[in-house]
Amino acid sequence: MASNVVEIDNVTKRYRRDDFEIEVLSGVSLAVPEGAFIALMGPSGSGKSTLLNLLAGIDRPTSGAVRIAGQDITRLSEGDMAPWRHRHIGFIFQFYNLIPVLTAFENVELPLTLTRLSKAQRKVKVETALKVVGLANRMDHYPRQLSGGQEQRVAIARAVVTDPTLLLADEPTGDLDAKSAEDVLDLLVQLNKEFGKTIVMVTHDPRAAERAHTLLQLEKGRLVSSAAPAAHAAAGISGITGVAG
Amino acid sequence: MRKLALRNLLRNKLRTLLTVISLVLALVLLCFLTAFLDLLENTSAAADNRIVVRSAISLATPLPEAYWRRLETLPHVTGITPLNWYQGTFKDDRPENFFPRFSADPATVFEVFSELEIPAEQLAAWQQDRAGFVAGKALADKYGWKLGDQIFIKGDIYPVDVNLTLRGVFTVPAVPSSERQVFFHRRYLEEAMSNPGIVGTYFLAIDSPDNVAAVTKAAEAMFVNSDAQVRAETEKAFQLSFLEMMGNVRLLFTAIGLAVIVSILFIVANTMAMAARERTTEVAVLKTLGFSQGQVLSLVLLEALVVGLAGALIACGASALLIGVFSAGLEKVMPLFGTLAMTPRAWAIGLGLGLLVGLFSGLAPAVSAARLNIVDALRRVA
Amino acid sequence: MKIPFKYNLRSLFVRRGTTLMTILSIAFVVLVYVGVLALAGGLRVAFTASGDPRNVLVLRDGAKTELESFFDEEKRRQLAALSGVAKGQDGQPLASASVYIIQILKRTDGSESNVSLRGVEPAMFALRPQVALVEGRRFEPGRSEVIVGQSLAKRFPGLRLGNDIAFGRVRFKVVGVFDAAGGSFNSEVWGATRDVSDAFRRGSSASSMVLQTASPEAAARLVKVIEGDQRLKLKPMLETRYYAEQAGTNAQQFVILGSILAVVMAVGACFAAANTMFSQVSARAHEIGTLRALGFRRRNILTAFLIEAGLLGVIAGVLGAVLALPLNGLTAGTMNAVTFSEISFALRTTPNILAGGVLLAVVTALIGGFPAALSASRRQITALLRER
Repeated sequence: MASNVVEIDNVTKRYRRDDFEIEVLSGVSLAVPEGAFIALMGPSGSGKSTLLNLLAGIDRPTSGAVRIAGQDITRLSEGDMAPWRHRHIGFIFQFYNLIPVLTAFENVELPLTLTRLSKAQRKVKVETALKVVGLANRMDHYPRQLSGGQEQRVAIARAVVTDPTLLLADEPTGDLDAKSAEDVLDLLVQLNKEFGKTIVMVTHDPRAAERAHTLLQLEKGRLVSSAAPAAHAAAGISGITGVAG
Repeated sequence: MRKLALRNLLRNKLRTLLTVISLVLALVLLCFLTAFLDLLENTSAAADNRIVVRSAISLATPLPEAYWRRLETLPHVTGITPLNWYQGTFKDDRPENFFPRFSADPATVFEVFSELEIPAEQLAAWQQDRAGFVAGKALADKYGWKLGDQIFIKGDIYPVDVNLTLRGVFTVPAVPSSERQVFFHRRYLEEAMSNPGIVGTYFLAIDSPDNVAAVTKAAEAMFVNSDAQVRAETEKAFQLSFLEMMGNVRLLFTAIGLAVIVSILFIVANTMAMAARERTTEVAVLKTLGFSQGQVLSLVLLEALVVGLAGALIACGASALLIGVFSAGLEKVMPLFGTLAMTPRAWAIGLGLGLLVGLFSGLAPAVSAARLNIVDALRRVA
Repeated sequence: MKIPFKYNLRSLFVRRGTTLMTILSIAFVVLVYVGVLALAGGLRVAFTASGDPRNVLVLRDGAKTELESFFDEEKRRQLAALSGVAKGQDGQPLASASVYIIQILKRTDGSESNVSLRGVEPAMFALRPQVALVEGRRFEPGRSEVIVGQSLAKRFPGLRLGNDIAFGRVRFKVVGVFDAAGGSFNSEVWGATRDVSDAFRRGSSASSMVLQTASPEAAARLVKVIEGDQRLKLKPMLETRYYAEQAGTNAQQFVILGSILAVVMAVGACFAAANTMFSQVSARAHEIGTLRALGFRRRNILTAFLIEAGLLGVIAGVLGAVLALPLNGLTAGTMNAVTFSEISFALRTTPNILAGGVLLAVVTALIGGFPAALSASRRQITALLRER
């Protein structure tokens, strides 16, 4: 059986907002094996983005453990989180969040500047990543010169260029028209199938969810069901426990 | 990452430009003030082995000529010359025609003021002509005087006018500003005044700077019981005492300088803060990608420092240029003992303050960017 | 329809940090401007309060100041006897000689300066009624006593009431402190003519003489009379002119300095205002677009932003003026460039100067804000609405 890339163990997250305390996640447990492609759905306020943030190490749970590639990241200090994120996580945002003053090439190169690779070595990786997303010919364009779909694809290239353990996508098609959304989803599937990338995707777009192997539903901070969308049931992904109540 | 910092500055060219310009203006102002203050306080023309002896009451009170021989007897004194500030009005009262006009003793003045160089035959010619005068080359050039030319000075402090003939031109290679003065015979003045034996100041040459303190004490002690007591001080202290009388000019300039710096600090800090605020999402993304707090902090700080540096360099260049242009005009507005120039301190102020303003203005936005909570920042957009 | 004023007011305060910093930077410009002009104004007042338009000041021919002037007793007698000279209540001519000396004294901060010592005749007090004793009593001639002007008493420790101080070869006792209603005499020490002369071995020669006449016109006539008398060889002038010239010379440098400083700083502050307004405009692009879509016209937008800039300027100006108020009454002392002696004066932040400062702030803010306001009004509605 494939090893688990992600193991979430009874995680709870509470926020303080003025005088109120809100429990966004309640006792969520989850295991994601290597090579999985998970879609996380739920109504707004269900806590799906929060769960993603916990996986990315951007946020910390109030209680419970989060293990990525065997390491409990809740035990890492604040100062260690940044390099950890850099090594293990590729994040794709809804609004692409490319840096407007950098070209597509430079945007994808950005995470590599934190490594010790030489300029030439970085160039190779960036070009490869851009080729994979099909935008090698737009390397020197600035984000304002690209369409929404193209920007998102550059963002994906940026997310994979460091060869991260885990790819996290927060509503990647939320801001795109249908055609661009298709292209982006095709790309994600390709990354998962051909390159074996483990992907956790938050979405409320049913078309997007369809392309994933596994569908998880979050409601009011709890996982309410897990289902394998029919098309991919055969992949035999298992080991997902959803606890009700 | 430097690339990112630079590009960010160019992102809003107008804003960066406006900020740099205001920084440059403030720094130029400060460089000017510093250069001016340095000019006022410039005592480099003062020799460190000369003493000035004058009446303890004030400069307006003269000393007896009898003191000449007595002061000469002091140990370590290698030369002594009397000097009277005649001044008077030359041409008109305008500041550009202001230069020191002294009555002096031709036999000793060039010995004590040894940095003044004059051809031997011209010195002899002056010593022979009681109605003659000598002038520094800078003045001779300025007024186009040639040997044998006559000038007329109307008396004010001394109620007699003088008609003088140029007999010699001296140069002062070590201290060019000392060329802006003239000397004539004290006997000429005394005869016209029918009031001999009055000396304004005595200048004493001492064999070594180490003995200066001892001689000043001895000089004052020599006359402590006389009717006309004296005050002796180094030439440097003498020159500085004029500035002291003007009151605390340094304090005034410093106060103004501080106000200017505070003002400009607000301006640049404001810009940095505005720029940083617009980029919270970006900072969040950088942190998500794995940039550490320290790296984010240096990024913002770097931007601010670049602005500071650019301002500093431009300001220093502009100041040097403007000062060169203005120093000639400044002469017309106020009498000066020297030329206005970019002194080392002025350079230091321009460069140093520019960088400091950059640093401090970027500090707050840099720290807040470093501390940015990724989740909150991202939520703001979506 | 016009954009409501409270929109402008509230918008300014929503972005509190930026607004505050811009206000502060302009306020400092105002502070420097007011400060330097207060210096110049104070100097001017110190001099003009000294001159009485009915008085004629007489110096030696060729002298520019009292310091370099001297003439003998005989001439003084002739002057006092002239018919144009007014008579006091005791029937004596209102004429007083002055023996004017300067001497180095130490200030409280340790620095030194030349202080004016004036030997006067009894008529001087009748001549200058604005001189009033605030402490102690008048000096008695022949007893080596002096009285000291208020400003000097504060700034020179040796000149306090009851102190002994050496002038020339005599030790004098300070028996009184006087106030000369802000004039330059506040920076002088007064004693009896004979006492002062003796201390400095001046014999019977005096530096100058002041003659009072019945009116300014009479003063002008007396000046002509004295000028016309070849035997006297003296230089008479209206006292007001003498002091005005000194005021001019001294104050001029400060006015020049102040103006240059203010202009340069104001230009810098203009750029600050421009920066702020441009950023306001771009941050509120969507808002502006909405307003335009609702039907407000371009010029309403322009006016709105100009009003905001102006408001910024007014607040900054008032703040700067308030910050400058403590300067009022601060005493300073400097060397009178003409008489070479100490002159004390008080900084005066007159309403005129303060108003000028506020005006400077408003103009600075408006000039700085205008380009941004213009650009805000000119942009296309669709472009504005597309922004965040």
